[in-house]
Amino acid sequence: MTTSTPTHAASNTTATPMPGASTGAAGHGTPLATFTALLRREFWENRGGLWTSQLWTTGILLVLIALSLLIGETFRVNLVGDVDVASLADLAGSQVQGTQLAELRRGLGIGLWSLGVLNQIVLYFVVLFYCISALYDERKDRSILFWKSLPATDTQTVLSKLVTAVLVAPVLALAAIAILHLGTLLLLSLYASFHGLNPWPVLWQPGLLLDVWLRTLATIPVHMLWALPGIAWLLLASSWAKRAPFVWAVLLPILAAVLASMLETLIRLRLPGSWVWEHVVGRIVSSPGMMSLQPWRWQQASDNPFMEPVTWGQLRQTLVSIETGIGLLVAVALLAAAIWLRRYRDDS
Amino acid sequence: MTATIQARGLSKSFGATRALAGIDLTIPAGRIVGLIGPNGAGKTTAMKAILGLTPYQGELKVLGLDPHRQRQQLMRDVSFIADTAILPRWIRVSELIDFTAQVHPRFSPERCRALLAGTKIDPKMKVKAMSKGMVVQMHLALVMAIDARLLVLDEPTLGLDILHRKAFYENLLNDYFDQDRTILVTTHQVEEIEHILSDVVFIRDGRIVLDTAMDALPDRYTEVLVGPDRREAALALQPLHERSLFGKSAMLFDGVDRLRLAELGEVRTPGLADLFVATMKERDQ
Repeated sequence: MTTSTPTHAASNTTATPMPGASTGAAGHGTPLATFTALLRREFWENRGGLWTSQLWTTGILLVLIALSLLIGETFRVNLVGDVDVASLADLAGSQVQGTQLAELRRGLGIGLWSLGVLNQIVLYFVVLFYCISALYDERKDRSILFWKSLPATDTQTVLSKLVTAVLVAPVLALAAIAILHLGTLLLLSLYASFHGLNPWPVLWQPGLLLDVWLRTLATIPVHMLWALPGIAWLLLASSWAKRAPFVWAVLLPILAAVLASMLETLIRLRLPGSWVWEHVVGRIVSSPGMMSLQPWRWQQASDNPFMEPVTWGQLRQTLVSIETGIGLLVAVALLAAAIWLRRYRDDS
Repeated sequence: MTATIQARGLSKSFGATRALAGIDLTIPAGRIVGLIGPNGAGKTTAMKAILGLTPYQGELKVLGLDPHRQRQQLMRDVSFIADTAILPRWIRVSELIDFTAQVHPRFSPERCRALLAGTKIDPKMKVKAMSKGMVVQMHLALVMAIDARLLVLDEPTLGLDILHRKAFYENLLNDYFDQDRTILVTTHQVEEIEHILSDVVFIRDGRIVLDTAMDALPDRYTEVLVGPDRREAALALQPLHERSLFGKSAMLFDGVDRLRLAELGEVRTPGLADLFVATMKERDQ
């Protein structure tokens, strides 16, 4: 590395590299390079949850869809008799016109949307447990001091975990959902072509797929703004807990809400309101994952919320609500506390 | 010239316990300093203060920086290996090298790979698949590929067998150390590092009890093997420490003329371990 370096270099306390030293490529160690590296680090550590589990969910669903098509086909052949599917479809096609065709396409959109629900549920649990262990595991396995021996700040590190939870994980889940959509349409097309039907006019509408994907993609940043305080709380609990971070992260708010409800009953002699439950417990519990898993939407939705895609109106409503704004302020405070704990607490 | 480490009245308390009770220490560049002390003497606390991992009272400058407030800047010039700073078990060698290259402007992935080429460590290997010795080799290769000005080692060879321990310090001395770098090391295996040290600091109960260059040891300390007949005469010269050895007494003297002691018996420069025991015993009395 360095051979016969002049001694005056030792008196130089600035960050200039020593002569003859082979350092990394230009740009390394900049805030952007560091943050990218931290995000990749999170992906490497949690590849199984963030990506592999999503692919497995997609794969299993596709196998189930293929199997159900096969079962349907067996039923048709053995029980119903060899009905000509193509002429049946032609008959149906001649009956369905105009608005009904539009309804059919809308129905396909809802079908595609609800197809991704299982991926969303997997995402929910992955992100929930990711957040709870994000700042806890590195202390438990005593690798935290190794990470701290490298020039990445505590702020960068905590923010990289936050971004992984609210952006990276949902985007990866959406990618897996898109694969699921394409796979499902491919299977249905194969089935249709097998019966001499042209799948293109009904099934393959680029506008439809794009609409479902874009709308889901748009929910990610909107949901992020709404979910930041909840995720920040989970990260704070993860950075705070000496053991059992799950208890701090989830059970503590629930206990606090129970206590608040009981006190309210005791002091005001009336049935407790749901404010704490809705704005603290509900908010924390519905923060991981995607927007369609927010319980408050279940109350508002007239129908099964999983059956309907998020509308642009609902997105706007979330963006401008006071609750989102206040939540962001709370999130900043909680994150600052999590960063402070990682920086200054010394329990190694 | 700025010293690598400069401490004035460095103190740190945990509740009622004084871990560091006002340490004054100056370490110039190009030294290999052993920080040696019994368990609980404050070694690790001192290291943590130097690395900006723990708040402290008093004055402390590392490479001219305040380690607590300017920690991130400091970490570009300082590396450390501690028995409490363990490589994450889930990570692959290739990922570890990629990550360090991205965040550390002074890390050379080529050099790290070259250092690993001589070991059984494969780039695809995960840390959890490595033996204890391999993990330490990996960590050392990573740190040696960083062009740092201060390397802090806190019990770096804990749990390693003697072959790995020897190899560790040999690599460090042959492939890493030069006149611009400073290495600060703590260990209980005093005998194994004494030949590589340029300076030694004994610490006890949060205070420095000895701070000297290794070169200066022979001028100051002498051990004499005294027969029973001359024991009284030797004791009159007030040895620091006495231990019996094959029916004779091995006495350790501080600042007594070696020629005079040679009249009493066979003289030699004491080993660091003997000196350590003597210094610590002396304070007990």
